[in-house]
Amino acid sequence: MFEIKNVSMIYDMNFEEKMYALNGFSLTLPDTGLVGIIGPSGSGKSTLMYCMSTLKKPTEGNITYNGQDITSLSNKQRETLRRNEFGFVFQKHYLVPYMTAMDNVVVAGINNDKELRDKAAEYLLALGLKEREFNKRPSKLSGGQCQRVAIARAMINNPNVIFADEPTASLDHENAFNVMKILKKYSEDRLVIVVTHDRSILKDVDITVEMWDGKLSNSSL
Amino acid sequence: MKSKLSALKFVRNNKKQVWVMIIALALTFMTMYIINFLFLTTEESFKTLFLEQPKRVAYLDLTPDTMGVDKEAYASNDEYNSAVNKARDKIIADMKKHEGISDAVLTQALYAHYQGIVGEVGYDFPLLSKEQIPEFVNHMNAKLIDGRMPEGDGEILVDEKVLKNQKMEIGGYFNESTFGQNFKVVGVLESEYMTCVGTPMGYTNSGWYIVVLCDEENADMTKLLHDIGITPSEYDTMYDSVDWAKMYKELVTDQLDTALLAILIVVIIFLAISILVAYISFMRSRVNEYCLYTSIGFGRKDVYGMILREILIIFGISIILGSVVTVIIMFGMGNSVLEPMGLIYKYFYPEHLLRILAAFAAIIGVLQIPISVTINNIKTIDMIEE
Repeated sequence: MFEIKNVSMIYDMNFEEKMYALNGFSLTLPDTGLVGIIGPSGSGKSTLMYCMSTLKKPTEGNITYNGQDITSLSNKQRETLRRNEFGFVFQKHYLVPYMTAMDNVVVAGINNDKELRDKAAEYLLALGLKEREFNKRPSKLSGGQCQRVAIARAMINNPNVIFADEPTASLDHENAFNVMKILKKYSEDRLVIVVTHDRSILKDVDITVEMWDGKLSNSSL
Repeated sequence: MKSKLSALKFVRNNKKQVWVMIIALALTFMTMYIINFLFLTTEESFKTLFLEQPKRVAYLDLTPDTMGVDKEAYASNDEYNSAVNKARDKIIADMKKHEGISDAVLTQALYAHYQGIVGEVGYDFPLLSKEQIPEFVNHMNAKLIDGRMPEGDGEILVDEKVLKNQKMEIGGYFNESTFGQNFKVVGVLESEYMTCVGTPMGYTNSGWYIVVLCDEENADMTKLLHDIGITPSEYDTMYDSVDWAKMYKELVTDQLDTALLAILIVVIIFLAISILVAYISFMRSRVNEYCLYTSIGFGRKDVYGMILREILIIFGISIILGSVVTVIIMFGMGNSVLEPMGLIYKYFYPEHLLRILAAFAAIIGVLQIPISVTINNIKTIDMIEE
């Protein structure tokens, strides 16, 4: 599904001493499975995820998704790809503060409202939220509940790829493992890429990618 | 496939913020329309006196020179006065023969006041013999609706609106502050021209006029005089349709329109600044929301469309609410203030409504500046998290 070839991401391009967030990174990922990208802070794992999800354009190299070079797409094409193919869970939940949990899930949807609401309810229940919490705003939910709403939002369009940046960071162990279980189940027929520095949540992943200093240091592929 | 970000979610879920803005806009709409309504009620009320009444009656005071009488040619004042009277009688006789002139008569006039919401107007009406009054009343399409016709000296018929406006009543004295207790109100007329008429009581200081009862096509006295071979000069007094129309434009419409435009501009500037400040604050608090949308695949156009629809919903509701409140207040004012004042009013002024709507559209236009700045500065979440 993803083929990453010699991708580099350089910050501070104008400075003499260039800073590489990714440095000649190459990797190929399958169509399905749970992929864990692990590495210390500053290793380039989030940058890799942003490049793969078209939020960032690498300075050098190519990323191919389903045979299409996504580094050469226009802004509009990248938006369409993100909207139709990808789902996102960010480090912070980025829920819209004035919307209910239900609306926060539905807002990302591309189908009609009724269908989305049914599906959103299904995901929220599966992620451990109770029905009475569907109409609560983020300020009335715990950090863990907010993150679960964000995960439901990422899943609402049944994307082929979910990018999750530290999805369990604000969850307790029990909830963290529940979330990973859901992502694992989701990855049975789709690809889920989880970026984390918490090795304990990666015990069920299909592929582990270890990064160090913008480079691939180890891979279970 | 759903292609739009819903604008209703913000409107529904931010009732406090949204209603503050809606109420502010609705009140502004109401204030602007009510100010227009009150000013234009004055314009509408004065229109009858300035534009309608002169189509039925004109007042002329011609100089002897205009009438072709040269003082130097007469040895005594009596001869001179006799010549003036003779010349005037001839003019009156010629006028009566003219098509569209139902009567012309030399008579005294009295002065009536009529108070608008803004300003006051005074106008002459004739003091005729009691035998002439029915003809005048008939000519003015007036109808006695209360009291009786004048029978003795110093008795006045007053239009019902003027009666209310000047807080007079049957049996009371007409314009007592000016004319003392010389003239008594004996009847009330219903008339589309605010007609007043009465019988004389000695001499008043309002002067003598040739009162010409005309129709609309022959209400231009300069033309009428030319038709009968008289060339009026700037020293003649002629209160006719042309003169009143000129005064109406200069003293009423031009001044009121200028004042209304000035008020509208000031209100709109203040409103635009307030809405701009409020909206910038709204958008600042929503930057993360916009970033989320662009990160998960909505375009900047989608975000712009959503913001624009939100604004249109807010402005739309404001205008509907403002209209409802305005109509209620106008009806209340009409019945409790304007009607008792004997003023003529109407509720719907499409030109001024359009002007207010254009001002609102201009504010929406001004809001495009902060919206464009915000839209251009939307980042994706990866940029925020770095």
